[in-house]
This record gives sequence, C-alpha cells and structure tokens, in this order.
Amino acid sequence: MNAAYTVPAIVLVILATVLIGALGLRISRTTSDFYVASRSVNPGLNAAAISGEYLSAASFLGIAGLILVYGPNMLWYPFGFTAGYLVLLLLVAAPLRRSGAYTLPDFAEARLESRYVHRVASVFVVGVGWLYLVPQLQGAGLTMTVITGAPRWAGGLLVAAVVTVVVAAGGMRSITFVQAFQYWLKLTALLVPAAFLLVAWQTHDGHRLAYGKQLTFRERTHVTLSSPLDLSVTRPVRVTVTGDVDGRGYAGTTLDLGPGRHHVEQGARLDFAAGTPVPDTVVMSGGRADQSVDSGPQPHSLYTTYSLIIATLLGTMGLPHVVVRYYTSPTGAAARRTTVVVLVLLGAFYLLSPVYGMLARLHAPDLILTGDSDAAVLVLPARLIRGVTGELLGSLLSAGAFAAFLATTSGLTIAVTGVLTKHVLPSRGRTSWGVRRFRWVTLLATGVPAVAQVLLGDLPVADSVGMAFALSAAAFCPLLTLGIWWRRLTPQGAAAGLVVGGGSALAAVVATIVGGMDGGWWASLLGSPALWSVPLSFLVTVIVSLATQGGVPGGTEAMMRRLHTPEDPGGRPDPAAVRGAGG
Amino acid sequence: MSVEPIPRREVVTRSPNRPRKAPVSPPVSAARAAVHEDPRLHSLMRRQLRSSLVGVVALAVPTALLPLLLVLAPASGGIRSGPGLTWLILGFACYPPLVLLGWWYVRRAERHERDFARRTEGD
Amino acid sequence: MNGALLGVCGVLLLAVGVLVGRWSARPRRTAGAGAGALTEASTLAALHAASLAAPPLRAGLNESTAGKSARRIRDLLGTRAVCLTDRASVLTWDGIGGDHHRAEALAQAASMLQERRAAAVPTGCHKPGCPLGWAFVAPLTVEDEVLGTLIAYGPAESAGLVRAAEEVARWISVQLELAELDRSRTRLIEAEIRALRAQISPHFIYNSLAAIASFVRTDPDRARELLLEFADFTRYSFRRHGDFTTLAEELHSIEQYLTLAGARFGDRLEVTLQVAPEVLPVTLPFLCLQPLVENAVKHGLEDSAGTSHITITAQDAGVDAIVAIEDDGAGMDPRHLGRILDGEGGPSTGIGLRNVDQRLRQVYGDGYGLVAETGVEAGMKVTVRIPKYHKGVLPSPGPAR
Repeated sequence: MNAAYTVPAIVLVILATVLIGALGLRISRTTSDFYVASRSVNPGLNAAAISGEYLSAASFLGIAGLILVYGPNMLWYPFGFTAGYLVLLLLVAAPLRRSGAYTLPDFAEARLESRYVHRVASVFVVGVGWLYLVPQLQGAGLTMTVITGAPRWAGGLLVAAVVTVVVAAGGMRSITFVQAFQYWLKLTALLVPAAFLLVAWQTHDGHRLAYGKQLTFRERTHVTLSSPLDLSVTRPVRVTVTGDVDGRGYAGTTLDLGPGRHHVEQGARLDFAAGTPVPDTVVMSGGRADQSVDSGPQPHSLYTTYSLIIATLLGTMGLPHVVVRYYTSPTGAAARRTTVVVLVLLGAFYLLSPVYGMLARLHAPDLILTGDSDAAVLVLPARLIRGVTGELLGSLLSAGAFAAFLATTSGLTIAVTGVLTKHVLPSRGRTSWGVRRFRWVTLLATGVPAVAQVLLGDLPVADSVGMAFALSAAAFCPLLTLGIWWRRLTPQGAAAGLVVGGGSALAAVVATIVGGMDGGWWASLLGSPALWSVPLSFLVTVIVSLATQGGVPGGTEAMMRRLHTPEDPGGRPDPAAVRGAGG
Repeated sequence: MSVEPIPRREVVTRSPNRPRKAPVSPPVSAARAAVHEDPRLHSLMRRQLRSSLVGVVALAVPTALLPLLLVLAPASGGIRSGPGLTWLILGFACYPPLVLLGWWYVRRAERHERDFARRTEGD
Repeated sequence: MNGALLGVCGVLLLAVGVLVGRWSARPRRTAGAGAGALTEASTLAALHAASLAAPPLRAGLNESTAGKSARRIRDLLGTRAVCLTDRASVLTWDGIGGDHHRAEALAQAASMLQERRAAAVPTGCHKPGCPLGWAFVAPLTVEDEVLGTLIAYGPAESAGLVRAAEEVARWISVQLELAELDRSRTRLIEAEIRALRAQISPHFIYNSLAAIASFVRTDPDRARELLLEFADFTRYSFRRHGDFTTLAEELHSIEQYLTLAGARFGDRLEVTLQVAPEVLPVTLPFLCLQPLVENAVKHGLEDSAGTSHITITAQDAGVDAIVAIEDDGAGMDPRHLGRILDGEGGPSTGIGLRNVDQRLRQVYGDGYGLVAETGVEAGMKVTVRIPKYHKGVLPSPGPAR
C-alpha cells in the first residue's frame, strides 16, 4: 500500500479529531443565542456519537477479516452488535438514564446503596474496558504494518500514545462532536470505496459470488509466510515452493500436497496457479489451536454461534463507553429515541460488512495463509482497482480505520480513567492534585492494554472483542436488568452474581488468552463463555438475593419510582414556544 | 504614558487548615420515608415491562431459531442453501426488522408514560 | 486432564461466590476471645466494632440506621441479643429470640423512659432453653431528653452488663447528638439559601421592572419578552421544592438573569458562553452558579462606568464537569476574599460566594470547594468542579402540573 497517500490521510484524521475535540464547544457571544448554546444534545447527534464510539476496529476491519476466514457465519457479529442496542433499548435505556448514573458502578451504588458491590463492579468495568482496548490497539498495529511495514506493536503504541496525550491534556472537551464526526467519517470511508469496488466487481467478475466454503485463487498468487503455518488439505493442491515444507527444503519445486496436515516453515514462498483451491489453515494464534476451517460444519459451531449471540445481545448494555454516552441524553425518553437512531446508523454501517467480506473471499484469499485477514478491507481497493484511484481509496479506508481506533480507544480510555480515578483509586488529595492525578491515571488506563497488546501477539480482532462482550454480559446484564425491574434484588445477590458470573467468564477468557486449551469442547466452552456464564450469573444473583431478603436496600421503592417515572415534560414552559407565541 | 503593570491574580480557596468535615449526605432519608408504594407506578412498571418482554420475545424467538434453520438448510445450492441464506438474512435482511421493532417499542413506552402522566394529573 | 482441572476450578469459583454472598450478608463476628486473654486485641476489636456502628447512627435514630448499627453494637456488648427502641416502638432486634421477646421489649423500656438510669430487669421467659433471662436496659438521651433505649439480653443478672449497656448507650447518645448537630448545620444552610433567594429579590426586582418599564412605550414587544423572562426567572428562583437542579436549568436561569441585566445595562455588558453539551445533564445544588454570575455582574458594572465582559464556560472533564465564571471587573483583594470564604468577612459581604462554597463542600466533600483567582483591578475567575454523579445527588423531579 502506498504510504505517500495514506500517511497524510491518517495525520489528517488525527488532526481533525484533536481540533474538533478542543474547539468544538458551542459558543455564543450574545445573550440572544444563549438558548442555542445551552441546548441539550439531540437524539440524532448523540446517536451518531454513540455509534461513532461503538464502531471499533472489530467492526471496521475485523468482521470482513473473519468472514474471509470463517465464512458467512461470522455475520452474526454485526447482527449481534446491532441487536445488542435493541435489547438495551427494550430493557434498560430509559431507566438507566433516569438513574443519573455516569458509570456502571454509579448505577450499582445508586440502586443498591452498597460500597461493596460498587467496588466489585468497578473492577469488572476496568476489566471489560482493558479487554476491549487490546484489540483496538492490535488493529492499529496491523494497519500500520500493512501501510508502512512497521512492526506490529508500533501502531498500537502510536494510537495509545495519541489518545493518552489528547485525553490527559483535557483535549476531549466536546467528545460528543468528536465521536459524531468519527461516525460519519467511518461511514464515508467504507461507503465510497464500496461503491467503486462494486462497480469493479461487476466488470471483473460479472456478478460472481462466493457463498460457499471452498475458495479458489482467481489468479496466480505468491504467498510469503512471515510465520510458520499448518495447512490442512482436503483436496490435493499443486503448489510451487521455495523454502521448507514438512521438514524438507525446496527451491522452486512444484509439489502436490495430498490430503492431511502439512507444516510450512516461516519464510517459505508458496506459488499457487490460478484456479487452485485455497488450502485450509490451522490457525495458530497466541498458542490457541484448531479453529480449523474445515469444509464440513465445525464441531461446536452451533454452540459458538449461540454463545456469540448471547454475548453480543446482552453484553452491549454493560460496555463502559456505551453507558457513559447515555448520560448525555437529557431525559429517559430522549435516551430511548437516541437508541432507535443508533439502530438505524449501525444497520446502515453493517450493510457494508458483507460486501467487503464477499469481495475479500473472491480477491484476497491469500491473506488467510499469511494471517493478515484483518487487513482484507485495506488491501481490496488496490487489488480491484489499478492506479491512483485504488491507492486513494485505500488511503480513505486506512483513515477510516484510524478513526475507528481513535474513537473507540479514546471513548474507552475516558470511561476506564473515570472509573479508575473515582472508584478504584479513591483520592484523598486536594483539588490541585486532581489534574496531575488524572494524567497519571490516564497513562495507567492506556498503558496496561498497550503493554498487553505487545505481549499477547495477535488474537483475531473481532474475536477478542467477542470476549469483552461475553465478560460484560456475564458481569453486568443481571445487575442492570434485575436492578431495573426486580425490587427484591439485594446487594449480596448482585455481588455474588458479579463475582461468580463475571468471575467465571473472566477466568475463561484469561484461560483462553494464556492458552493451554488444545481444541475440543473445553476450548469452545472457554473461548465463548457467554452461553453458560450469563445464565449462571442470573441464577446466582436471584438465588442469593432471595436468600438475603433482609438486605433489600431501604431506598428501593424510591429508586424504582425514579427509574420508571417519566421526567416532567412541562416543568417549565419551552422558551422557544413562549417566544413563538410572542410573535 | 507610563505602562501600567498588569495586575496579577492570586488563587484563593477557603483556608485548608479549617477542620475538615465529612460530606453530609443529602437528606434522602426524609424523601425516602415519604415514598410509599404507589399503585399507579406499579401499573406503569407492569405495562412497561410487558411491552419490553413482548419486544424481547419478538427478538429472541427468530434469533434463536435462525441458527438451527441455517444449519438444517442444504449445504449447497445457490441462494437457497445454508450459506446463501446466511448472507442474505444476516448480511442485509435482518436490519430493517430490528429498527422497526425498536420504533414500535418506543411508541408503546411513550404512550404508557403519557397515560401515566394524564392519570397523575387527575389528582 | 484439562476437564478435571476446569471442573475443580468451576466448583472453587462457585464456592467463592457463595462465600462472598454470605460474607457480605453477615458481619464478621469480632473474635470473642476469653475475657482479659488478650486485652490489646479485645480493645482493638471493641474500637473496631464501635467505629463501624457509628456512621449509620450519625444520620439519626430510625429503623434503618438502628438496623444497620445493631449488629455492631451487639458485637461491642458481646451479648446474644440486642434491641433498640425509640419512645414508641421497637426499631430493631438483632440476635436470637426476637420471635418471642420483641413484643415485650417496649414494656421493659417503658420504666426506663422515666427513670433515666440503666437497670437490669428479669424477662420472665418460660421458653425452655432460651438464654435471654435478663434484660439490661439503658436510656439514649440527647440534650436531656430520652429518645429511646438500648436493651441487651443475657442469661443471668450481671452488674458488668448493666455497666456495659450504660456505657454503650452513652456512646450512642453522643453519636445521636452529633447527628442532631449535623441536622442543625443543614438547617442553617437551608436558611441561608432562603436568605439568598430573598436577597436577590428587592434590588433585582426593582431594577428589572424599571428596565422593563422603560421599554413599554418604545419597544412593547421587547418589554413583553422581558416580562416573560422575568416571570420565568422568578419562578425558578423562588421555587420551594428540591435541593438539586440540572446544569441546563441553572444555565437557563442565568440566561434569563443576564437578559434582564442586559436590559438595564445595554451594551455595557458583554457575555460569552461556552458550553460542552455533554455536561448539561449534570446535577448540582440549586442556585449554586447564579450567585456567582450575579457577583461577576456586580463587580464588572455596578462600580464602574465602563464595559464589562463576562465569560461563562462549562467543560467536560471525565467524571467531573468544570464551570468557570470570569469577569474583567474591579476584582478584589485576595486576602479579603479569603476571609469571606472562611466566614470572617462580616455579616453582609459576599454571602453568595461563601454560601455556594459551603454548600458545594457540604454536598460533595472538601475537595470540591470554590477556587477563585483574583487581584485588585484584575477581575475575578471563579471555578466550580461538579462530579457528574454523586451518591444521593439527583435532580428533583419537576413540579407536578
């Protein structure tokens, strides 16, 4: 990819973000337009901000990459990412806003009046936030590698550094405008190239599609492996090899790989003729093995699918950066309307994911072998459209990808920093210490995931986001839904649910990341823990609550009234209406 | 003309060496004591919960059945095959129903709240 | 292999969860070591129990606070059962035997309400195996008035327990007196808010009405508009209910105030407003910014004939919102302002600033006081930091209409 176009595009995105963040306040100089300046954020703007912050690297790059490798079943991700907001709308949006909480621990404290639950919830918020930050930074690293050839960890550190500096310097004073801008930027960055690509697809392929599992190389393709690879061959593959395959060295020899497993060493160059079927790979990522893309249905694919659905549908409501944005809605009713607009905006965005996924399957199957499938979106324009146009479209996509990293990373950083400063590391200091402390905590909030992404290597981006959703669902879905709808919830029940449900999901995620699972049912259960940990969490919360009914907080009835009573719509006359009447 | 020195500001706060007082939590207890169970609120909550659950069921049932349907569909055969349907339904067709369901729910919830406001007004 | 390991982990995790649930449900029993075995340890245990029992009682004596502290008080006394009553009812029972003793507790307390001395009373319990043979009753007094009683139960008459109950009751009484003190402090500040509201009125109402009157002939539309603003402004300032409001509402009221002030001062008053819209829903104490703006207007305009510029900014700062009000007016001697904030500036000066400072500190804690930057002839900038969420701080629901 041409760095001459891409690097300026990325620099522009960063500059625009910083400028809007610093200057995008509403300013009025005469009292007559005071009303405009102090008007609350309307649902449209807030919905764009929520969507902009939410559409992360997983959505922008990861889904197309997963579709490329695993096929259309991965479309459950964008569906779940969107439907999660519908569940949020149905069960929590308006009451959550009315609770007045800025973070989830705030909600726990307001509803349950317990410092203890509030502490435990804080720890999980930070956990979910960090787990979500790691893939953002990894995606940034991958993008930088594709663009400039820099090492993988460098891009992640760059984004972490930019976000830390901007947030710590107080540069995100008007984050709503920043995030709304990021949404429209990301949509444009995906939509414009998609239009070009579809035209190119029509002329190149004449409407040819690839729904099925089996992919073929459309033209003669060279692949140079940057890491060792295991191939699992079902149909014999003819390949010209320079390097080591199955322990033997070759120099431009043509081999017929028979059915079975073949080990290819790092640095080998494989040369496939046009029309050759793409061999399946045994993906080795972070020590985790065997997500083999075999031609039949995967052994636990149905379990994994359901677990993914549960995680995304019920996990969205607990994501720290999502909750924080709802605070901006002036009323519960506005929060609901905002969410409907979010559904529209996300739906529009995700209509593009299958387009990129399909085109990647047709034109970039070699990325499966090099392990760069997350970069599929970025390389497609250059593959289909020759010349400067392709390069420019590629830069637009890279800029959009950077917008995705920046938006989600800054949103998460602010949310995690907030929880860390206020709830996890309580301050005893004076006001003057506040700013310096805030900066150090920001560094902590981004530093931990930045180091983690260097250490962990490469998990597939959307996959680790899936784990963050699972953790969020297991920890916070019972707390929120039962807290809002069930009077008999006790702090003890909520704490037990958090610790058992959230704790078991966290343990599963850690076990999966650290490794040691060699395939089979256990790997599936631990890699996609939502299907068992969410019901477990609900069950424990309900049982312990029923066993400790003495602990029902005294303010439950008052809190329920607050959560469900509509705000007074006409507490004071709408000034605009009064002026209008005045003529 | 002589240039006047620019007046300097100093930072002033209340003296820090005054005895510190823990924040007094605002008088919630009084407000709380006055709250007794309100049947109208209960009825509002019940109606809201019913609408929410209808929405959840309308989302959950098709979502739960779809993976089974897709697995049971024939593995090959163009757009009617399992993979073909997956592309069609999950890639494109699922989003309008999500938005419509959300829109329906918002209208229901707001109607319940208007009814509630009207009944409270009658006091 | 892995399976077994994971199974074990799962069971362990479940056990941890159940334990956590139980642990948070029940207080840890302070080690009831044999008397005098380890004096230091038992002293520490007693002090610990006392420190845990104190915070709920600092909110006064009622069912909820009594319930929260009863367990700790029982730990402190080391008895099997403890009961707290007020003058009319049993507030809480902690420990065994509540099923058949609770009803008679009030009768045991009744004698005490006259006597005001701790005493031991036999319960006359006939239930076999019930270890609550004697009740040790001690009065809880605040300012020489008996508010209620503490009753500890034991198996036999014991002078020690009478003493202990009396001492603990005296300690509780001190906590309750402190609670009363807190309440009077709150009442004082509330009275100040009322004074503040009253203080706005005479001057401001007169000036506003005079300004409006001057437009009635020349520009009736403007007069009408100002009158509406005036009505709206007074409605907000004089509303009786609620301690808290939202930043959006407070800014709206400031806007009206400035419109009315603008009518009086015309072009001499220039105002810039910068608002990050995400902080508009922040909840804050009612009328805690308006006095600051009023102060800025006074400093800028009333003492001079020149033009004054006021800048109001509201920014997002993560978990806090930061509101700053700056004027380029006469400023103030920093030492004088310091005295005002310390409450030593005399009765009439700067009641607005001090009241706002006090209320912010009272609600949010000492880290959230006003920060002013000023000098003589250097204008003044007052900065307020408001947490986006603070326990118990919720906007009052609007007036029922």
